[in-house]
Amino acid sequence: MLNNQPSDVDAVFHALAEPTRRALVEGLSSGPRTVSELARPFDLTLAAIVQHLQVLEQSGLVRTEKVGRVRTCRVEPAGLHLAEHWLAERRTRWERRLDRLEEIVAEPKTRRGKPAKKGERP
Amino acid sequence: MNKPTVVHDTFVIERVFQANPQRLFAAYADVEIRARWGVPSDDEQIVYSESNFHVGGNDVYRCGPKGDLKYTGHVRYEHIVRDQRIIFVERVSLGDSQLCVSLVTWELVPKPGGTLLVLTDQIASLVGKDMVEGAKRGTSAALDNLARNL
Repeated sequence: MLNNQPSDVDAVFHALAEPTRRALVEGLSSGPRTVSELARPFDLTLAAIVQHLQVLEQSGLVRTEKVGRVRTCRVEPAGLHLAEHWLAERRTRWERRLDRLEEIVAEPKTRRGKPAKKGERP
Repeated sequence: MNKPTVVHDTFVIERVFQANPQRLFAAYADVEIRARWGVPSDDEQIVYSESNFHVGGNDVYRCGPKGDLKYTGHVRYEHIVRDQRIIFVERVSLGDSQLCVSLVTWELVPKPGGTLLVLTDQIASLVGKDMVEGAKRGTSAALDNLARNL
């Protein structure tokens, strides 16, 4: 279940918006841990911890690896490019929105005011 | 242990539209039209629960992929000159986390046969590397603070 994709901004935000998941990332700050080591401080079932880890893994923030019967987790530094992603994405979103605005203002006026006739400027 | 959790950026987008400034201004001012172009693709949706397009007025919206409008936006209009200029402050949040605060300026410059839009977005991003690094290093305080400071 390796995740080599660059972090998706949405997924990273979603992953970090939850306190348990932030605490899990925190738990990995000093180095890789097994799932059961990670789960120990929490008053949660192992299954719940595994679910949180899956969200973190899907976001690209955490990577897990199974060796034999033991699954080990570590922080994935790719998530660190979030700032650049976020700012670039905000610009891209504006560009796409303006594309749509361009289409809309190019439409003949139908909803408001008089309908535009050819050659006539509203 | 806490590091500054804000990253600043400014970008300017210039675009010429085949429409006059009045038409463009109206496409912003009319919230129904704004909701049509206000998302970057048909897979996403924006729903305004409040819209008060006047100086001092606020918009509140939710947006995101259709069926999962997880982002919340608050807009406050600071300056409006009909058919010429719109300046607003926009705050975007995801759940308890505040993602950014932006000062956005729309300038409409009439050109022969159309309008030049100069859009300037001055962003204070609160989710930059510090959010991730903070969490990584064990200072998830960044997000907790954000949530508290809302």
